[in-house]
Amino acid sequence: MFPSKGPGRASRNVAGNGAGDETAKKLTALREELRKIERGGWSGKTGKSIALGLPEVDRLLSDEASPGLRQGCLHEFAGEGAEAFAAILSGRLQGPVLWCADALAGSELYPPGLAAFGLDYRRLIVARCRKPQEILAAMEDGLRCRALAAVVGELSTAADLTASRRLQLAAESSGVTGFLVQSAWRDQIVKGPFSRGRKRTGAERFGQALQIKAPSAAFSRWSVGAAKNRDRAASSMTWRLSLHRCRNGGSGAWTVKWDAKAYRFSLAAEAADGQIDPPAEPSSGRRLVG
Amino acid sequence: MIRRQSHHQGDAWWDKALAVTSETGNRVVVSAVTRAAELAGVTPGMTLADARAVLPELFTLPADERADAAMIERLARWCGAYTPWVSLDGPDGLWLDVTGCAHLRGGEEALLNDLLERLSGYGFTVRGALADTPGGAWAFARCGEDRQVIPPGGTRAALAPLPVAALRLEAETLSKLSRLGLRRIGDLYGLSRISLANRFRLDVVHRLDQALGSTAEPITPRAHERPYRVRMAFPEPLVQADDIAEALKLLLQKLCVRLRQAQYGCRRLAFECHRVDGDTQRLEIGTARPLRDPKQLARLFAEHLGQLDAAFGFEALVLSASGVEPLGALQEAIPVEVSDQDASGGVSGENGTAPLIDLLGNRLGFEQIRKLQPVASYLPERAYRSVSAAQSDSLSDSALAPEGAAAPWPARVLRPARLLRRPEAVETLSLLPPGEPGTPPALFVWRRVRHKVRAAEGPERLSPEWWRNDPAWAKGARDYWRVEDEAGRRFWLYREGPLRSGRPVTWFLHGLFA
Repeated sequence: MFPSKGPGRASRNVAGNGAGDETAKKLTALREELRKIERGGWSGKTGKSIALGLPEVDRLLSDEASPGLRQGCLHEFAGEGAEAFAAILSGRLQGPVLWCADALAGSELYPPGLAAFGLDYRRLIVARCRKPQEILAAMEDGLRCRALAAVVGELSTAADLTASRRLQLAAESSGVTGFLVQSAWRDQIVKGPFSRGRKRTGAERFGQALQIKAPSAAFSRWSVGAAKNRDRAASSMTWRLSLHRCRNGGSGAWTVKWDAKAYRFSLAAEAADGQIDPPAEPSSGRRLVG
Repeated sequence: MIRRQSHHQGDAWWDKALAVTSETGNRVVVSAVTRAAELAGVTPGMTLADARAVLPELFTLPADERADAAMIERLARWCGAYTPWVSLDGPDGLWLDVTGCAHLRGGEEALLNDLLERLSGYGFTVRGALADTPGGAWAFARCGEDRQVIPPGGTRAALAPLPVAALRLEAETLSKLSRLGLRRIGDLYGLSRISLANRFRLDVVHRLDQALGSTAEPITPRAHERPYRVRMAFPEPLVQADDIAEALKLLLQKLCVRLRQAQYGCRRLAFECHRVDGDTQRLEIGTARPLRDPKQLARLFAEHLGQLDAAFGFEALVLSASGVEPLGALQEAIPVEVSDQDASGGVSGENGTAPLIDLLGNRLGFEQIRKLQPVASYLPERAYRSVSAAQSDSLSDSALAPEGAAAPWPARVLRPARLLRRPEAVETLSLLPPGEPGTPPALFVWRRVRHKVRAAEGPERLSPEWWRNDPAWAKGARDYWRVEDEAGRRFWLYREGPLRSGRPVTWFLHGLFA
């Protein structure tokens, strides 16, 4: 998060505008230069993005010709809907998907359920790893394999800066998209039986699970929390989607609904009976981070 | 030299009358017999009907030429213990050129005896002879005394009393010879070669010359099978990891050149490092498919090289392919990129992921890299199975479900994204009296966390498959509910067995929706 940086940058921008067009042009050129340096190894393929199909969100994520979540980058998802989100996004890509699963988790991936997210079971290669290090190593190898479309890794805690940087570099070098999934389910599955003390309500317990604050080199970081359905039907899926950080993008929070028949998102109004947690970060609109 | 005895199955039938039959045209002919059958009057060449007339209780087996050929091939390989120069002679004979090898076994007689004793010990009926020429040896082994060793230069004299059939002549020529009264080889010695050649073409003269040694008859040894094994020895022991990696690269290149020539790819490779102090360290890798690209193989080894403990250094490195499979000519160096048209990991995608599967398989174990396949079952835990990705290539996915076909699972019923490995019991609280049908719990506690149910959908009744005895489904049908708790988390709960009023109902959590 760079909330403190934002205003300063913005005011300088405004000052530039006041001084004249030339300064602004120079700044844009410099930013372009910086961006080029930053994406040293990018190939043509990585210029593409995976569109969520929500113009409001897509525009925030990328300022280039193809709006959406950038391919050839690492993206982090946390929360109950993290796996679903990774499945939906990798389902929108073409080609095989390597899913680095935790072999010791109490639950496992269920292909008939994934079909609802548009991820075909034939595209999945599941690598069952026993340790977080194994998952990270398998992800890195997967991200270097150009034949893959996406690599998904289940982690119980956020990857540290070094690990995520490695993954990001690997993704940049090949153009394969990586998804780090930090599922709240998984977290509970691992830690559940050992937690002591009084019985806590679900909201209380789950609210603490997400670790979004740890530094990470991922291109974007999201939390995909559970959200109440407006229509009181358990069959449709609604998530509280918040974008915490995105390189050269903004942040924001939305309630999105997934249509499992048409395979698309739609923005949903807040549930009628309210009481949805306030977004972790109020939408600050578009900011530029060179 | 070896009288054929096919179908070596054990020795219970050994003493019984048994014949091996083969079909020629529409006749069934006895092609080989046991000693007991021979004594009873059954001889090879008889029709089966005749043989049965002679010996009604004759037991017969159909001939299996391929198995016979494989057996004689194995015997030839075994005979390599006596001489490197072993050659097959027809379907039932072996030639061994023992020139210069006899002293190793204590002389020619000892060698022949040893060879034949061992073979008869294995259950073969064998005859053998040792002579100057292949033709001579052939003649003595088949028509002469068993285990004869003809002294050098004595072939001509020893051959004289043998029948002309010992000359490897065709049946037609033999009958002509017998009509002329030429029964023994000795009878041919006095005749002029020109008149023999005129009457019988060059056949007889040629065979006679071969038997007597005036015409050379080279025997072709079987090709030696070189194992796929390359070795490198060093005057100075290797200690540095980089050096070892470099040496391995060279070895892999050598091996891969040989594999390419033979159109093979390796499935298993062993890298043996012989340490100066006599210790041997061994690394093994496997591949999901036949492979002969040195770079890819080096990458698979790279992870394990760290396990080697060089200590005082390695003096020799041996790389051997213990499992090879045919691999046609391939364009290997092509950079694989999935085209946009390639719908769902089609052929090019498969090829591209093979190195990755190898890499991960060698690190995590090949059984940990899975691909998923649907199974026709209504039971949630049986609706799919995961197979090892390395093996799933053979049963191609497209054979199970054609490309582009809809998922085999019913689309209208929603399934959770994660399934618990085994359903877990949850404590529930229902607002309605227990046993009231058709009510999901109002509240449940799963792993110490309380979830208040806000919405529920169901029930979906799934019945056990009666044709399978599944203990997990022993209690009967299950009613599945999709429930959503206050925070919007969605669970898949079920209740099993028939409902009876007054009985408390146990609920289980089986899956988690995303």
